[in-house]
Amino acid sequence: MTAMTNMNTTPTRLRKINPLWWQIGLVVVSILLPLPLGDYYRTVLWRTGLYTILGLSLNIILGYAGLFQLGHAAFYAIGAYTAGLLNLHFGIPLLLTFPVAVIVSAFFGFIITRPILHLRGDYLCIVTIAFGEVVRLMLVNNLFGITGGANGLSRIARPVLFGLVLRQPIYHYYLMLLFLIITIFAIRRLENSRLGRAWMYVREDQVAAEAMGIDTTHVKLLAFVIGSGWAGLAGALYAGQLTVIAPDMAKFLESVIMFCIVVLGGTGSIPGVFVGAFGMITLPEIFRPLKDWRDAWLGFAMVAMMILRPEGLWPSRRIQMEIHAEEAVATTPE
Amino acid sequence: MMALLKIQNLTKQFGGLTAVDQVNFDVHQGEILGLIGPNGAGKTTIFNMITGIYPPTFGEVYFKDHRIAHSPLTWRQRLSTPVWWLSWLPISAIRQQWNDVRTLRPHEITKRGIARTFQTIRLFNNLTALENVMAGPHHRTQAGLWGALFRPPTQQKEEAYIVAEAKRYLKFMGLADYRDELAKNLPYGHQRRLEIARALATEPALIVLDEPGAGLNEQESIELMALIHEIRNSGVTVLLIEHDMKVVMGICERIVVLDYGKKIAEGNRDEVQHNPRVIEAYLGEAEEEESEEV
Repeated sequence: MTAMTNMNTTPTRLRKINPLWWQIGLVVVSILLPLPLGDYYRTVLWRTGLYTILGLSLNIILGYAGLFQLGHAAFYAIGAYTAGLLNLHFGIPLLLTFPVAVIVSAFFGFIITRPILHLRGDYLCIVTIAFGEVVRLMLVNNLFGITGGANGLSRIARPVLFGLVLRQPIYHYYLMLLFLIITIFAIRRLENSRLGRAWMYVREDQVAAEAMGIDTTHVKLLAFVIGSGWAGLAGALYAGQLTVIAPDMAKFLESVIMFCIVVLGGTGSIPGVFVGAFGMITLPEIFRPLKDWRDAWLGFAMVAMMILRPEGLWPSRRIQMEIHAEEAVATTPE
Repeated sequence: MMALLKIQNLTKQFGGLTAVDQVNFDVHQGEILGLIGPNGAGKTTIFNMITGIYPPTFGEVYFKDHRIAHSPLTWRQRLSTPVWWLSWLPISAIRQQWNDVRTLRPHEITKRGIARTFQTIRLFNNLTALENVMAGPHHRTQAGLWGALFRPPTQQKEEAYIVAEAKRYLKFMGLADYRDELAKNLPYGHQRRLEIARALATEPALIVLDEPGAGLNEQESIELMALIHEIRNSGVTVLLIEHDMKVVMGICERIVVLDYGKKIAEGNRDEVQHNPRVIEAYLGEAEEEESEEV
């Protein structure tokens, strides 16, 4: 074992522990950030944060386990509807519906993805798109007679925390921030765990992972279940802020936005998801006056990015190395 | 000597092509058995059936006297098997019986004690050498979601165990200095060894090496032979496919020779080397017409 101790000098060492003050500083900044802003931009911040949570939950599936999921918005909607329905029909305070929203979306994640887990890559992608649409159409067509059809649900009671009714955007921002911090904490721990490694083994080489004794079906299912459940939480947060939810939450574009957040920022990278959410949510809001140009700009930006920075704007160091190493191999004369 | 792995009438057909045809042989506890044959003789197909990548068309594989591979049950067979009806019950006696009947998946076979390497190296390229080997102890550790999130003492102990085990096997294969290197950045010979380290880290009773010597230079081949001996001496039975005759003759105690999916010879080095059918299979390329008839 003594020979092992002087190995830390190898150049490709990947992980460095962030100093604690750096993390505390970020939390303080995010607490102070909305204070000088008006309600409009506080809501924009809240939305950015919400999509960051969604992006991080999708990142588990897409970034760590390497599974294409283009129907993630379905679970976001399922979470929101769970929270809304429990609140409207049973009068359960919204905050107490959060755990149920997580469990119900995770359950739907389980039953929807279990039969399609053996699919790979693009096939899986197409099936998830279809499932997302199925969920949306079920909500639109009022399948169980309780989802309110195309109008959705309205007049959901605002969440109440210790007698304080969370009405102003700033409260919702802080509620979202709390869950965002929990999310980041949890994902960082997952990343460095037996389960997180198993996801990476599956992403890297599924056949080899299976041959190493990893139950790939189980591991992939867990990625979907955890990711879907957490998207459900974001949906519940959304229901609390807007008090109105509609089947549009599950529309394909929402899934695409979530997908883009993860890919734009850098697959598998936590800061990348922040950058992605900023690019996909905050920037379009800032440039709202140029609405007609917004989508065109987004298209150009995506194309430019795929050419210039395919690893994402703030990639995980691992993926960055992966892509640039391939380039190096491709350009090195033999 | 006890047979650790028994292969009985193993047959695999891909459409009309019979890749492996009624092959029988045993792998004894503690030996190094070489499986050789010209290209396309069906060696890797046998490996894939042993390790559960795909099921045989006919025939069976027994490992430690338990059936691990056989042709999958048809629906009619399933419906007429009482254990199939009861297989969902969490009763260990029923589970055990069911395990002998159903088709095992590769990870379950690994868990029972067969580890493998691949002909074309299949490492987790963008993970470090250490992380690659850390895959080995995965199947005998427990921590799941809760362990990851709350890090209770049991999980921390387990993580330390996984890292210690991985380091031990890296050291065993002489890769201790490369543990933080990404797998794909390692030289080819080291990648081969890393793959073996990863397989050994699953603590198998039998390790199945698919052409471990392919692409190695003379010096590396010699080192590899020494390592395979060492693996066997540490108590792991070795079954290997090899093209490099020097490696095969250098380390294998017994050799099984395949040609066109059929076993044509079995025995020790001398027996195999002087077997006319083996010589024909390897040197008989001049007699094209004859070999095509087979």
